[in-house]
Formats: sequence, structure tokens, C-alpha cells
Amino acid sequence: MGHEDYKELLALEAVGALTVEASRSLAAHLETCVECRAELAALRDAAAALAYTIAPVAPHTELRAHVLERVRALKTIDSSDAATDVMDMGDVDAPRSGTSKSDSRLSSSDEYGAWHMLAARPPLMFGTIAAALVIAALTVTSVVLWNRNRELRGDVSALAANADMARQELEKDQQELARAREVEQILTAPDAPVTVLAGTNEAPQARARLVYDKRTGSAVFSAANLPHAPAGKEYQLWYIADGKPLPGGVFNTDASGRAFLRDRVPVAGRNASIFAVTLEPTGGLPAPTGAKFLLGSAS
Amino acid sequence: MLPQLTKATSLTPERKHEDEADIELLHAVARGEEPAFISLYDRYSSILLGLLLRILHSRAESEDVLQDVFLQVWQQARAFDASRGRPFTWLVTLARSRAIDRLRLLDSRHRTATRATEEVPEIVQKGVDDVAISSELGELVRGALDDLPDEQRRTLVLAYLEGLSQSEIAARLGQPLGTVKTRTRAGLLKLQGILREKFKGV
Repeated sequence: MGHEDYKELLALEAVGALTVEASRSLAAHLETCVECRAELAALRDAAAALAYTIAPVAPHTELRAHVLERVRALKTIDSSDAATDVMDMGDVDAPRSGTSKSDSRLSSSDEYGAWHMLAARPPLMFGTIAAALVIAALTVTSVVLWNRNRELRGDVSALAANADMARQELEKDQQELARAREVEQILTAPDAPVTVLAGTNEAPQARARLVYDKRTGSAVFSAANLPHAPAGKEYQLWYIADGKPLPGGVFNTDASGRAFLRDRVPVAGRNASIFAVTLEPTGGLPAPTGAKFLLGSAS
Repeated sequence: MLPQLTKATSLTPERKHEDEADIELLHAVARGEEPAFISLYDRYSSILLGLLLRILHSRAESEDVLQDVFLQVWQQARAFDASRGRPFTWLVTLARSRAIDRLRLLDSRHRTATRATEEVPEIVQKGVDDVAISSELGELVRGALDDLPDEQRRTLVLAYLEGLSQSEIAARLGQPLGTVKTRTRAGLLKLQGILREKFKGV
């Protein structure tokens, strides 16, 4: 095949449509043909411009942190690589399985370059003393610069850490907002009656409210004036349908006796007529064993 | 230290300026500078994800490949050669080939089953405004694409943006392979001509 034949292939290569063999054969021609290389570059730019016609889609925010994490993991591998490279200067240009050149390695070879030049230069009029002074001055300068570099690096990673924290806080806020929206949805659902639970003799002052969406089972429960459960114990919510108690979520109250719980009512419990709260071992149980603290019935 | 990044706008001098900024970013990434890498991610992750989704039709797969793409950017930034094309082209080529690798990995039968029945999707979609690449540039290239004869546009889009092979395109459009090749080639050359006209001086 001649130059003209290869030229014909460039457009197909640019859109990635050549067969492997044709592409390989073209690559061999490109090695020697400046014109075809330039033409291919221009055609590739034109093809890639097609990507501008696609609607961009923002990746999930966590993805950015993930990618950074993976990049940092690579960096660590890199710097341990660099340590061995410094000892093995002869190998500086050997291919390195796709990892990027690390900074420490760059600076060490730069330094090597500077020393090398200095050594090659013939002694000036003040002879070796002058050279020694120059070397001393250079050494001081490089130490100062190295420290400065390290400080700046510290600043950069501190900034990155701040940005990470801000991002995490933002994500937390977003999650809270999502939860708040969900609660709002439950409270405003068309078929979500409110049940009031009253304290039993165990806690006469206690009051609670339960709202759940009968279609989805999403529930919100809030309690007040309920004493904080002792160590090893937690409160558990029960949905009692046809006389059978179905286990709900577990919770504890804060120091002021309040609690808020998001729960999902099991399907069988969505037509429950009675709701109760008992004191159970931490983590709750499949069936109630402890004393009832709150009780209410569907209106 | 880093070049001042303006929000990407479309036309000639800005585009050239942006290419230069991107080249500097890639050089900085090659030196292992994380902030430059983050800038590149913020500038291009959305447009690349759009492209990956177009080829892979799955958000999970696309985001997975997107991670691989940026890891590769980090590792291979040194291999970027400005004389071989724009940084944007380098990124798109990288993303596209990773997506096609992934496509080959995924069950090919499943793919032909779901994709062969699909209509050729509409190219013009409503863009998202708050991303780095302005819709103005999209409009411009879309305009150029619209100037192509129908069948050239279709083969070009199927080949480049959908990642179909020439024989898959031939099967999809019911055309002989030779015709598909001719049209792909003619389409790209024409598009190049139109874009060159529009970006005169670049």
C-alpha cells in the first residue's frame, strides 16, 4: 500500500472504525509520514468535537472523592518506587508500567544535573575555594527551597483536606435534606392517619405520635416525656394487627425524654389497629417481652 | 501557578486559550500535581460521562469507566503530545476506547438484543448549563452536523458516539459495508471542513 491508500484510511482510523490489522498497518506508515500524522490529528479533533453535541451528565459527587482516593493510592506506590530509583540512577528512563514520574525523583535528578554541571565546569580564578563556596551556597539555597517546597505541599494538602471536609458536610446536609423531604412526604401523604399513643402506668406523662403512609409503609414516630431507657435496654415499637404484634423499629430517648424514629411498617402491619411501645433488650426482639410504656389505637 | 480557568465559551480565541490552559493542566498532572488533576476532573467529568452513557447505556458502568478514565489521565498525562491533537481530543479518545473495551466485555448478545431494536437516538438533546463546556459550542457542532447529508450524519454518529463497528452499522442500516465506510469517511471529512470554516484561524 502506498501513501495515497493510507491517506484514504485516516478518516476511518480517526473514528476508530478500522480493523485491528488495517490500523496496525497504518500505524507503521504514520511512523514515517509527517503529512499523514498531521492529517490524522486534525481528523481526530473533528471527530472528538462530536462529543460536544452530547448533553453533559454530572457524575455523582462521591465519584470525585473516589477517583482522588485511587489517585492518592497510586501516588503512594509511586513514591516507594522513587526511593528505589534514586539508588538506581542508571535506570532513570526505563519505562515504568504507566505510573507517573514522582516529584521526589524529579528533584533528585535535577539536583544530580546541577552537581554534574558544576563538576564539569573548570575551576574559576579563585580555584577550589571559590568552587567550594559556590557549592556551599547552592546547598543552602537548595535546602531552603526544599523546605519551602515542603511547606507549600503541606498547605496544599491542608487545603485539599478542608475542601474534602466541606464536601462531606455538604453531602451530610444533602442527606438530611433528603430525609426531611421524605418525612414531609409521609406527613402529607393522602392516606397517612395520625395515631396518638399515651403513656401507660409505667410512664404516665409519656406521649407519642405515629404517622405512616399506608401505601408505602414509611413511618415517622416521635415521643416525648419518655424516660431514657437504662443500659442494655431500648424501646421498641409494635404494630399490632389482628391481635398479633409485628416488630417495629427500636429507639431510645435523649436526656430530655424525646425520641424521633423513621421506620418502615411491615406489609402485614399496615392495617394494624393497635400500636405499642415496650422496653426490650438493646436491638429489639421479634416478639414483645417487656413492659408496655406507650399504647394507642387507630382512630 | 495554574492558568486562570474561565468558564468555557465557544469561539475561536477563547477556544485556543482553553486548549493552552488544558495543555498546561495536563503537563502539571504529568508532574503529579493534584490540583491540576482536580481542575481537569471538574472541567471534563460531565461531558465525558455524557459520552460514556451514550455508548454504554448504563449509569453504573459509565461511572465505573469514568473512574478508570481519570486514573488513566493521571498515569498517562506524560504521554499526551500536543502536536497530535487537542487535549479535549485526547480525553475523548481515551474515554471512548475505555467505553468500547467495556462494551466488548459486557455480554455482547445482550447488547445486540437491546441495541439493534433501538431507533437511532436524537442527537440534539437539551444540555446542562452549569457545566464547563458551554452549550454554545455544542450548538455550533450540532449545526455543523446538521449540514451533513442524513446518511453521512447517521453513520458518523453511530460509529463515533454509539461505538458501533462498521459491520454493526451496516447491519443496522441495511447497507453494504463498503457504502458504510465511504459514508463515514465522507461524513468526517465534510464535518472537518465545516468546523474548520466555523473555527477559522484555529
